[in-house]
Amino acid sequence: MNDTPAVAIDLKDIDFSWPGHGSKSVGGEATKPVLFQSLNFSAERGEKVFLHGPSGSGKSTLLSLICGTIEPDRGQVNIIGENLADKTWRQRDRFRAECIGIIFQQFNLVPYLTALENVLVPMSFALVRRERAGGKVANTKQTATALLDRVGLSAAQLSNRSVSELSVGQQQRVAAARALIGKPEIIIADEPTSSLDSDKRSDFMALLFEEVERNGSSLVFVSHDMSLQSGFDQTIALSDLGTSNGLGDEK
Amino acid sequence: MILFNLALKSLLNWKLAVGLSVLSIAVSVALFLGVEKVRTGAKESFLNTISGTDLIVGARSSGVQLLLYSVFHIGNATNNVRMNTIEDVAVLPGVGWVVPISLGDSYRGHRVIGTTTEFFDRYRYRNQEKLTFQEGKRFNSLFDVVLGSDVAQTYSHTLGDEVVLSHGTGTVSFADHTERPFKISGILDRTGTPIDRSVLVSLEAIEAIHHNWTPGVGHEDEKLPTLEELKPKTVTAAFVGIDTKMATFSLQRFINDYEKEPITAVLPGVAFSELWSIVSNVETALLVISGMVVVATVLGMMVAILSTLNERRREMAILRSVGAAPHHVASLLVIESLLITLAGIALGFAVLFLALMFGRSEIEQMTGIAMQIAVFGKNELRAVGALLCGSLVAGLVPAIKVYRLSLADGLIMRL
Repeated sequence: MNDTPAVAIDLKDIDFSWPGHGSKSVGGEATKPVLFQSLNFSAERGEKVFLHGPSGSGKSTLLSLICGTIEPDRGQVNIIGENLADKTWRQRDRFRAECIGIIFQQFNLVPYLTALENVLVPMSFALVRRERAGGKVANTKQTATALLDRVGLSAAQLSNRSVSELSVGQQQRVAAARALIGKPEIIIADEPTSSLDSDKRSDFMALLFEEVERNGSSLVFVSHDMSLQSGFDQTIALSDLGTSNGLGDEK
Repeated sequence: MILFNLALKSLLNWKLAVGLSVLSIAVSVALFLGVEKVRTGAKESFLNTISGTDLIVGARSSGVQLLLYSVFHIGNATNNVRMNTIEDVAVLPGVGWVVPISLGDSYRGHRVIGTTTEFFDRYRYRNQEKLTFQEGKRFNSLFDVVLGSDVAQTYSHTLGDEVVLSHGTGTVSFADHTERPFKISGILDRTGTPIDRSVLVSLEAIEAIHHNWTPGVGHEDEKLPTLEELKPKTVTAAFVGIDTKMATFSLQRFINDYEKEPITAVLPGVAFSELWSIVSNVETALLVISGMVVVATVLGMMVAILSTLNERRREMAILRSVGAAPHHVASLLVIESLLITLAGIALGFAVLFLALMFGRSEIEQMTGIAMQIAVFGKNELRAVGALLCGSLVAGLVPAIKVYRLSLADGLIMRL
């Protein structure tokens, strides 16, 4: 399955320990808190993956590995067919901007930009996505406005309002629009609904699914809330991915 | 471009803190530029208290002392010079004109200059500017007096008023020349030189009020002496103009070696520089202090930026998540500090410019320091350059910190 070209994310045999947290033992051998050992994870193109695990189990770390902001001690991270180890940090930043849209738990938005400007920020760092969104400034603006409209935020609702005046639910929808603009291959959502009440939560999930399916993107959705798992193609417990020891377990 | 926009919008987001930073930089820039203006203005005004005069001749003394009493009316002459000697100097080859002056009396503490009417033609200040009259004209008859603008203003004198000169130079006088009152024939325009605080009469008038006169007793006879009798025997000093400038040094040497009387000739420019070098320490101190204020301000801005970093760590992670590299995030801070500094510099220049536009003539009136509005010298440009470099460094410190933080934090949000 992992060999098919349609694989969006492929993590092979990953070892990871937090740097800097190790304490030197008497023998001089450094013992570091091991987080992952021989971890394997993959998601196909267009696949929606639900990833769950208790807090501290390394969910954010796994996402950082996929995003290429941290490197594994061992193993390979392939994102849409490209090995991140072959890239410099700078290239990884650009690569991430091009093919990954990220939605955080909360406070996703740049506070001093408007909703529209927030949605447009990735256009300055990702050229391919900008092309897909229309290329010229006027076109990308149109795309962003349409996207905001689709996630339920009309231009009238947003005009002349600071993003901090928006409700949390509205802010998360702006963040979703920002992750989705330019149709990146992968959408990563790190507990995006945890600050929403249950009504808003199911609304948000429906909207996210709709847009991800429309774009044909893969979705990696991280949450500890098992009630959200319906509708996903794959549900994975982080502890099943490899020897995931958790921060406390030193071996 | 996106970084510039982000920086601009981010700054607008911190309006109060940014505004205060801009303001403090503007104030320090205005202070620095102002000090520089006053410094150069004061120096210019000082060095050009007298121009057009090539030599000043007086009794043997140091050049600075001669300059101090003859031009600034500070201190007293060591001795007088015989009029014969001055006449000898006047006929030396190359000498164009000689204007003798006689000091020693005062009017309510203001020096009386006894001189010839040629003084009004020859005395120049600043950039070869001539003395001009607010009202009236030069002294014509024996007891005419011309007032400097300060003197006239202080005592609200107008043309035709009578004034009584005093013997000696103290503010409070015990021996007034009451028998020989003077009538104001003219009031001079403001010059910003010691002339403003002087009273000018003819050399003969000085002789007349002292003719057969003893302090406290008065004149032995009430009869006015004849003009022949009033011809001065001695004067305090003389301003000399030289036609062939090449001859200046040989003339100076000749005068200093004059055998009949020990006299000194000094080049005003040389003596001025000597005098200025005495006060130049103060000048440097002023410059250093205002420079330090600028440094302190830049440090303040750096602290202000650093103090927002923790609050902005989340923002940095967001920017990283939408594709900004650590160096983008770091440059954002550098751009911000440069923008703050540029705004501060612009505002500082504007403040100083406006202050000079509206306050220049008042300052000149009060202090005699003429400041130019538009001309900014090398020092100012250098200071602005240094300030920009400083702000670059001040932006780099938090930028490096953010660079490290955003490498370490990656996309992980920390509250």
